[in-house]
Amino acid sequence: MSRRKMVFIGAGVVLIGASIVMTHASSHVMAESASTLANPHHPGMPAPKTFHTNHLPIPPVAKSVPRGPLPSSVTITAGKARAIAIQYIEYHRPSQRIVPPTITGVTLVTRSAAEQKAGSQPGLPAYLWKVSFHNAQFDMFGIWPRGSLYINTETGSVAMGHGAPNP
Amino acid sequence: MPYNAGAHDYANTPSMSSGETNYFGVWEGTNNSTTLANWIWVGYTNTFNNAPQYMWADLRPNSGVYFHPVSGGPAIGTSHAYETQYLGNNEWGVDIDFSEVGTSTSNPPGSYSAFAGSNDPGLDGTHGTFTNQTNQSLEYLSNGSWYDWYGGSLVQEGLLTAQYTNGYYNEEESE
Repeated sequence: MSRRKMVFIGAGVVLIGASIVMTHASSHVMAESASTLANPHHPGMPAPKTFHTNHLPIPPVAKSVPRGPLPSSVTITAGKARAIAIQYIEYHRPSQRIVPPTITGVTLVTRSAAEQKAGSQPGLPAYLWKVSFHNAQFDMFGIWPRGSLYINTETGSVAMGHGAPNP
Repeated sequence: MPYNAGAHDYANTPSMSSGETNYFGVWEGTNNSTTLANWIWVGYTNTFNNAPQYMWADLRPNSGVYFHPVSGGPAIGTSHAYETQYLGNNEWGVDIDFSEVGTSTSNPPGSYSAFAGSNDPGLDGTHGTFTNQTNQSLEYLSNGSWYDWYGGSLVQEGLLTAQYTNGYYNEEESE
């Protein structure tokens, strides 16, 4: 057998071997997917999926806000954050006869500090404005007398909220 | 006794009344709660505007409620999967359509209650009522397997809403 022919045969064996491995891998994935999709309790519905790892881990250390000027990523000012919080409050205010809650402060917090306190979610910026209030009398996310709204410092959206009973 | 470590349901997306705050989704009791005194919730709401938006929230011991809007929302008339699951270390994960969208912290394990449907109007646990129960396909996770959350009954405790406490106890007792 010529050396060239042996190389071709060798390459063919490698290709067939690779195909078998890929077919096996594909069918394994297919089988796994199929078993994942089968719902023994509710035919026609995908089964619940158990997730084993925490994809959104909470930072172990809360970073503090640096002293000095606002970080460059912060494009929403404190005043604008307050106005956004007021807008949110007014959206939920059922009547002008019910007084809105009093805003008690606007502070800049880091994402890691907020996540340690509030929990994690995708899309949070590095910094958030925390607009605190008290004397809330109507439903904004349940009727909680005090709490805070976390404003995204880059987009101005309400990123998170907190409601608590009176101390 | 082993406790539930997750809850899952599919929820359709009906149209929501404007001017009224609604929360739809799956609530699961945490911190060994049999009455949803502490919970984790994932679903959607119209609290930000009149269109449904995804959101998750939790009511942890001594902490009040934290709510987390998630970008996007379900289209009216579509069905989506909502799931909570204990991750260990007093943390719970929340999934929408099998993608994790949040992690609840400082929320102890142990769950003996769950509810799927809507809460109108509040999330504070002392106001409002659960309505539009839709938990025909509610399932719970226990020891790595999913089970149908059958049976159970609606319970009313003072102002504390109605909640669906479960068939899990029934199953345990029947063994």
